[in-house]
Amino acid sequence: MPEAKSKVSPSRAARFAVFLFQRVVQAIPVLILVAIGVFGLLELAEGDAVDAYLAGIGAGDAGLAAELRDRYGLGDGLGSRFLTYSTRLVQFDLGYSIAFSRDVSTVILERLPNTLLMMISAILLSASIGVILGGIAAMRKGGPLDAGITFGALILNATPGFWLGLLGIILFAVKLRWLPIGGLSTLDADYGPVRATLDVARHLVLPVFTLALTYLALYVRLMRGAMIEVGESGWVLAARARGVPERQVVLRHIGRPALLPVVTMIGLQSGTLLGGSVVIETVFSIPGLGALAFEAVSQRDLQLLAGILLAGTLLVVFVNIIVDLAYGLLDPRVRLGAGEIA
Amino acid sequence: MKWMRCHGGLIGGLVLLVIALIALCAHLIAPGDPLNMVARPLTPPFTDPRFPLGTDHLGRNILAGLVHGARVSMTVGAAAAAAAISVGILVGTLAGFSGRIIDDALMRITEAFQTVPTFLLALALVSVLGASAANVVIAIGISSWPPTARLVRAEVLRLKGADYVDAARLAGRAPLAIAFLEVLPGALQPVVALIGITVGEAILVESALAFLGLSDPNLISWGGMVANGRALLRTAPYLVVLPGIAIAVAVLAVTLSGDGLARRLGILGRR
Amino acid sequence: MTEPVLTLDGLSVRFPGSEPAVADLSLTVAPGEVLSLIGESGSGKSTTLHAIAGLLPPEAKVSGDMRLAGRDGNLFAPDMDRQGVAGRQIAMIFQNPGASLNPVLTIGAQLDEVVRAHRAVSRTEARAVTEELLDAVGLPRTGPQAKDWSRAYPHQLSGGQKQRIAIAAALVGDPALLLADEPTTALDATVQAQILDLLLRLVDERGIAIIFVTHDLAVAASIGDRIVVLKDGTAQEEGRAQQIIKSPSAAYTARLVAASLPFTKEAGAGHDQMQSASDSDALILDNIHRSFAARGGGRVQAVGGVSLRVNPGEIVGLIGESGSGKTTLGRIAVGLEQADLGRVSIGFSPLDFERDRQAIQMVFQDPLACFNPRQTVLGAIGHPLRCLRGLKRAAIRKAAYGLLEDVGLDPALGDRQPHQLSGGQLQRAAIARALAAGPRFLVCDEAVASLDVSIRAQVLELLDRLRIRDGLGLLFISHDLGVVQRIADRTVVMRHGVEVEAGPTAALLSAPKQPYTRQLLASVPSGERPWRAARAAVTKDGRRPGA
Repeated sequence: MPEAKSKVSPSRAARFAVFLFQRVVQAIPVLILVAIGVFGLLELAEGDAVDAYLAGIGAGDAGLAAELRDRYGLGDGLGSRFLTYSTRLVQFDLGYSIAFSRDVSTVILERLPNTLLMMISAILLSASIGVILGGIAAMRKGGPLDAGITFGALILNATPGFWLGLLGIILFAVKLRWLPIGGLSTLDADYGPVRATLDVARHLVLPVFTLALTYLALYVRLMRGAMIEVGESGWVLAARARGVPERQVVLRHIGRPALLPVVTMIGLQSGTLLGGSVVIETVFSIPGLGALAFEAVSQRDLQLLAGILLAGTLLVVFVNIIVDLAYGLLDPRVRLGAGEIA
Repeated sequence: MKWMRCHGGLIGGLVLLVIALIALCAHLIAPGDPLNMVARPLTPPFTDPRFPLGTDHLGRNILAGLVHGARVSMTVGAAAAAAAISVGILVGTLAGFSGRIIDDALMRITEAFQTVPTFLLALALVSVLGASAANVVIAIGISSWPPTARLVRAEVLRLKGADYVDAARLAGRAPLAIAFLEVLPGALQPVVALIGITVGEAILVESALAFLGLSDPNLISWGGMVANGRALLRTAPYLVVLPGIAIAVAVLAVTLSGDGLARRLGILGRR
Repeated sequence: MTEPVLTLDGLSVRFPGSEPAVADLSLTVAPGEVLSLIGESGSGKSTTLHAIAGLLPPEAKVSGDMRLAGRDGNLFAPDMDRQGVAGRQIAMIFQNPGASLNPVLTIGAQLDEVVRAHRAVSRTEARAVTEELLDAVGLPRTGPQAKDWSRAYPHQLSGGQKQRIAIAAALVGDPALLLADEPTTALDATVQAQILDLLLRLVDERGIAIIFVTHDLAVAASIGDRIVVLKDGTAQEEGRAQQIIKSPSAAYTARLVAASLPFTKEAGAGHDQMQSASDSDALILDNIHRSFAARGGGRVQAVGGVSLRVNPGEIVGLIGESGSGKTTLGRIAVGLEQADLGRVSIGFSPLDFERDRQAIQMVFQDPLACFNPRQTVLGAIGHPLRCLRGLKRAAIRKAAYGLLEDVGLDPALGDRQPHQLSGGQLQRAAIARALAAGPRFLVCDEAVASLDVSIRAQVLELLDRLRIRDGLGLLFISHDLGVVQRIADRTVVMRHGVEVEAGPTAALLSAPKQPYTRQLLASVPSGERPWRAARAAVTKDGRRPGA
């Protein structure tokens, strides 16, 4: 057999490090482009942060304005403004939030954990429910269960997230009084660590489910389609011909390969989900990044808005790198450096 | 199931047609400015035959609001989706036909736009450009073209290597004729499958922006109506429920008819 | 006579909304017997296999009687329990070995799973069985060719290796009957020979019966003890393999035998045309090099310095297995691909493909893929007439009709969409399009490989007629020795991007000088020399054909 050559393959850890490094390097041009775009957006704005600030405090002192502009490098020409902007970015300085009178990065870091908690729960929830429902629909293709799941997914897909959230509030918080109406924890409560955690979890049920349900349809449809497609592949027929039990055929030979597009979609969807959290956090008054973005917009705090855009992008890049790593574990064909048999 | 597969597109199309007619004839169905106070505030639905769906906290006719809101939602949704798809086709075609460097550059830009959270970008754009219907269209268009661009590029690259394109080269067809007459028609066909999804998505983004108060304050919109009803969630939930149903029905109709169209053209499988 | 392993009586299969795929088919297979089931596309041979294996989709209507040795009852009966049949009594291997393995699981995991489905063993014991089976199909854990096969993923293996693994998986349950659905069609000739060898060894050593489905009469006759000929779902003829190919009794079989072009030592070369043409009008490929960027960096050489010459009115066969660079060379000859080094010329002047496009044209392998699905056939033929010959509207139509008639097609077919024509009709239309440019040379890249046997012969005849009439020079690229033997005046053998051997076809094929050419010739099942007999003869003096 002259076909396969053997080769010393590098250790697992080394391959992992190389892959991680390549992936991070790949993200750099994207981040640079986004940074340039955000700068362009700031330049587009009529009036600058100082105008907004002065309007906010109701003062019109030209001297103060000039002083402020000088301090934030807003008075110079476009080129030097960009230079100031990029030097500050490289130093992870996102500027100063006029609305909160604090550093933008401080405000963002304060809000980030809440959004992360919500986002990760929602991603896991919608992907896992979607995979299960999509799988069931595919296995019962053409039956009433399939019809129900598919139609339900279509309706959820058409439902605006904020409305779904409000319906949830009306039903579960106002009428049934099972769940809190909003916020992240009960105010003025003095709970121990366990009860405090449970309290936060209780507050998160509605927003996380709302966020997850709005993106559920996508995973249902994707998983259903993938399962049907994989179900027609040669190896499924071959496994049946070999007498492999049907349960294993469905789980290992249909389900597992069908998970691959779902994993890819998790990465692609992370940005959309983060965007969706703006509305959901506003509806449920959760102090996260999304609600912060809305506050920044309503108070015309562009420095803060720009910072959130950059932070959000970084978050999406981060999620995508993790998703790519997971994909590599699931699909041996993309596993780096694993091209040869030992 | 089969029934839905076969007739979903037709029903979606019919509903869409009805919504479009309502939007077009809004001033006939509900004459006058829907923002005017016309009756006692908070008349519940199905109590007053003159205001079948009741009135809101400012005494505005809800049915009139829904009818006029259809106009804004549908136009903004359609225009934004048209903008997104056009930009996507342009970028995808350019990238697919260009050499390595331009292709790479365009794909990095596409990736950058896809990485920025879509709704955050639309939000930022509207807040910078100002809240008007046109700016909402621009914002949604700018933030949602990447999927189309990627699809078109992939199709162009696939068809560029097809045997029949090689055959056309051997037949002496000019490069431009090959690009526009042999490759592009085939590459654009799958875009049809994206139309329904993109329009539906655009309507949803528009309503979310309106919900956050980032749409034209002089125009009534479904998202804005939901936002107005929010304060009276406990006492008058119908203020939130009714416009939400309108959004969901419109988006469902758009998606179904898009699917139906694609299936009729044989782009989607029979799944 | 021993009890047959399988008795099939009056099998009919029908898919909703179409003609019966199989109608009233009866056959038996004895233990240790190889039954070849032969037919062209759409003859119902694969459907028959799927029906026996119980793999037909639920919407298919199956009737008839199927009995297995040592098992009571008709397996086609509606509520018949098929438990313990798949993998244990009947195993199956498929045409595309790559598609029959799950890409995300290791070979070991997939085989272990089958082992544990049929035997009550622990994980470690299952792995031991797996290693044993891999060894049995020629993928040993120890010895000179040892590798840790069980830890490999399918994408790391070649087609032949994957088919060996599929065979190993089929052996797990010690089946009495192996269904083989064109298992070697997707493989190169030398690999095909190895797999056929392996299958026959299993018959001899384990007494397994095989139903071997193929479209290739030579393969069917070489491997099969008996042959059943299928057409439109019904059996045309059944009998001893040698008898059928020597004196077929059914008219259809006779046509099939006459049309099949097996490679034989005895048959002379197709033609001995004039070889005296001067250099001034020959197509000359001079020292062509071409390499491609490889995955994961580096470059792979597709063609590494090949020179070739085709005289007007001459047919040069270009033979090679997959990866030999023959297709790349053909694409360079017509200017679809640029050579890194070397040049293509007609006579003494290098070809400028922008200017001399019409001089050399191509016929592709897949006729359906080479027509734009959104244009009519006539429209496609019109392009070269307008772009290269400068004809106008009415003249284009007239010329196109003429061309369609030239290739034996009804001109009325020209107004149809490509998918409305059959493969054979479409390939004729593709030839008409190539001729429309008014070429002096034609590159045919596996131009008959995707066609059914009976149509293949007609298309070859057409090409031969055209070169005689128009003095066309043909570069005929093929993996099929039988086809090249019939049509080519001279033959070039390529391997790994370089020329192995070249010469007049008759001389080259009857007395090959290079070991690779000899190996290639030995790999071809001739049909006239039963493989089993040859195997027995060869094993006596310690060599195997194709090894």
